Order: sequence, then structure tokens, then C-alpha cells
Amino acid sequence: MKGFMKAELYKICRNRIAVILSLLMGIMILGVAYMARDAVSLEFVCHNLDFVTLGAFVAVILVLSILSEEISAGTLKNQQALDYRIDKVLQWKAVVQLVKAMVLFAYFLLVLIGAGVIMQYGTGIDMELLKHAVIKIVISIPAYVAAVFIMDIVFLKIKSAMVTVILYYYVVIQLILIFLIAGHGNENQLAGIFLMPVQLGYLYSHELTANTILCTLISELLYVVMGWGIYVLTTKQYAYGLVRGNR
Amino acid sequence: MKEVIRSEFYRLRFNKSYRIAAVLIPGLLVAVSLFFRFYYHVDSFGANFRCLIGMLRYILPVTIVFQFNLYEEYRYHTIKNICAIHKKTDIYLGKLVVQLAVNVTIFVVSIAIYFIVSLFVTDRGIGAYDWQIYLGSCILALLILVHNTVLVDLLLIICRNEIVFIVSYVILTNVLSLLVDFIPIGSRLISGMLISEQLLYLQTLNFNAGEWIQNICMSLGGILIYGIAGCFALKHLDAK
Repeated sequence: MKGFMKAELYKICRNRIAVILSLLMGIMILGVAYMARDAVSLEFVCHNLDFVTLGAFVAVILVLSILSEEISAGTLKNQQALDYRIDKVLQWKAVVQLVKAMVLFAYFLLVLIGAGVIMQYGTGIDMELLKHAVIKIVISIPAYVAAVFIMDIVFLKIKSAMVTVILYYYVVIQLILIFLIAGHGNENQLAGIFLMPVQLGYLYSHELTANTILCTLISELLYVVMGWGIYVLTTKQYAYGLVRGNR
Repeated sequence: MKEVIRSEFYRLRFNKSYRIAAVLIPGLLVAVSLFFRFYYHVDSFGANFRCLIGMLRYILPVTIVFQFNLYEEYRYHTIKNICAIHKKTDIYLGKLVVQLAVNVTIFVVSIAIYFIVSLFVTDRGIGAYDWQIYLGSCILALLILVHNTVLVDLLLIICRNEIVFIVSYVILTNVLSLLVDFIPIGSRLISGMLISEQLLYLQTLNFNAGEWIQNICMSLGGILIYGIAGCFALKHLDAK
């Protein structure tokens, strides 16, 4: 698998589109932070973590390209010719996706902190506020890991990145938001926390308590384990179909 | 152009995702109407309608499915075949006409079904002034739909890659609206051209005639600019 990983890393480094789009988003956020440094405080960034949610969502979409490009171009059979097992290749691809997603996530986090520092440059940084925001973001990382797995599973079934994103983000997540969480108030916070991995960024708009942290971590780990399990099964099914010549 | 339109309609007949989306959109609207009426006990038609307007933000991207035929031309490199027969302007206009026809038809049918269902499940007392508001909102929503269609076409022509297209669409529809207020020059003009800002305005439902006309003009301006840019982009496309 060493050669395979090397090739994947080479492909990621050569992917100019992802680099340009990520840099563009970062520059946009920093530019706005600079322009709004008098009007908006760090509090705005910490309480309204829309930038992180969007940045993470963009990261999840960008990493989908690792899987989608190979499958759409039909070059997965080449890996088979090199004596790699297709299901293992797909599973390693998911690992590469996670690495890339985490790098992108860390990048967006750094940009956000940079934006916060720019905004508070004159008045000093409220460390307590920043600490809370960073804890929330760190806790939500497994949710994005689960999101990567879920997107991969849907993609392997549908085989179109565009439909996967539309179905996953605009239909499933938003429907959950509307039908299960919106308007319920505090009593159903627990339901929201348990659904968080499929509804990126729910935690950001709520208070940070010990219970919230525990529930979020348990639910996220559950989603990550389940997501990985189902993904492995899906890759085996896909590989079987490929070997049989169905794809 | 006639042949392009005919072939696009022929292709749509055999498009599975189109059929699913055509059922999904009216189904979603009816489900939302019933859900808000019986689960959240939203009795009035006005409040229910406000919920529908809120849902448009998530329904609009589903209409991208109807624009797949344009993307597939690039994916399978078959755009060169039609470029050899037809003029590029005709191809662009033909495809746009079909997409708009499908989107507008499904939108009108969905809204009609929604109105009928909502009128039955909520109280029926809608005054003449309320009808003006609903009609005005529907016209603006229709323009936003057309705006979205033209924008997606432009992005598909420029990006020619699924992932780049989706990321660009997300940035244009979500990120820019977060940033636009802080742009020092021309923020009003830019925000008027953004779909997310227009949807936000639509959600207020208490607009006066001046603001409504201003938004309609902004939307028409956006459609015109994106349309011309799309036509220009396709004309200068190296179709291989």
C-alpha cells in the first residue's frame, strides 16, 4: 500500500482546484475580518460559527473528489491490475480523505482564529470566549469524520458527486433540521446533539455544558464506528460488483 | 434551436433523476404544509406560507438535478458533437429554455398543489390584500428560481467539474451572503444579486411596492448578467 499512498498524496498535492478554492475562502474571511474589525467583535465569530460550518462542509465536498474522480473516470480497474484489492483501495482512499479533511479543517480553524485576532487587535482578546469556541470546534471534529463516511457511502451507491451533495446536505440534513429540531426548544436539545453528525454545526448554536460534551462525543463516536462499518460493507459490495464486471 | 429543444426534451423523458425530483419537490412542499399544520399546530395560512418560503432555500438546489443534461455533455465529451451541428448560442439558449420550462412548470404545479392542500388544512380566510402578498411572493420566488437556473448554467459551463461546481455554488449562495455586508463599495448592489439575500427578503413577507419592484429589478439584472456571461462562456468554450 506504500506505492498507493504515495500516488494518492501526489494527486492531492497536484490538485490545484482544492488549493485555490481553500486559499480563496481563507483570504475572503481574513479580508472581511480586516474590513469589519471595528464593527464586529470576536464574540460574533465565536457565537456564530457559520464560517467553520461552511468551511468544514466545503472541506467534506472537496475530499469527495478523491473518490469521485477515480470512479467517474473508471480508472479504479487500474488498481486491480496492480494486484490491489478494490475494497482495500477504497478503504485506504477513505483514510486519505480523512487526512485531507483534517488538514483543511485545521486550515479553516487557523483562518478563523486569525480573523478573530484581527478583529480584537485593538481591544485585546477575550481568552475565555476563544477557548469555548475552540472546544466546540474540536468536539465537532468526529462529526465531520462521520460526514465523510456517510457521503462516501451515498456516493458509492449513487455514483454522482453532485446528487450526493444535494441529497445529503440539502435534503437529508435540512429535513432533519426542519422536522426534528426546529421549534422544539431546549427539551429536545438531546435529539439535536445525537443527530449532530448528520447535521453539521448544531453544537455551535448551543451552550457548552459537561452533559452536552459527553452526549456529543458518545453520539459522534457511535456515528463514526457505524459509518466506517457500513462503508467497509459498501466497498466490499462495490468491489464484488466490479470484479463481476457489473461496473 | 428547435432541434436542440426537441432533443433536450427527448432526453428528459428518459432521465430517472428528473422523475424523482419532479415528485420529490411537490411532495416535500405538501409534507411541510401538513407537518407544520398538524405537528406545530400552525393554523393560519399566512404562517404556513412563511414556512414554505423558508423551505425554498433547500428546494432550490434540488432543481439542479434538472440541469444535469448540460453537465453530462461535458462529462462524456459529447458537447463537441452538437457544437459541430448547431451554433453555440443556439445550444445555450435551447438548453436554457428547456431547463426553465421544466423548472417553472414544476414550481407552478408544486405551488398550486401546496395552495390547495394548505387551504384545506388551515383556515380559509384570506383577504384581498393577503392574496396580493402571496402573488407578489410567488412572482419573486419564480424570478429567484430563474436566477438560480441561469447561475447554475453559468457555473456548469465555467467549472466543468462536479466538485468545483458544487463548491463554487456553495460559496456563491452561502459564504458571499455572510461577507457581503462588510464590502465597503456596492454591497447593496451585490447583495441584491445574491439568491440567499433575495430569499431573506422574501421571507419577511411585509414588503412595500417600492422595495418589491427594486428586488424584481435586481433579480432581472442578475438573470441578464448571468445569462450573457453564460452565453459568452459557452461561445468561447474549447469544445473537444
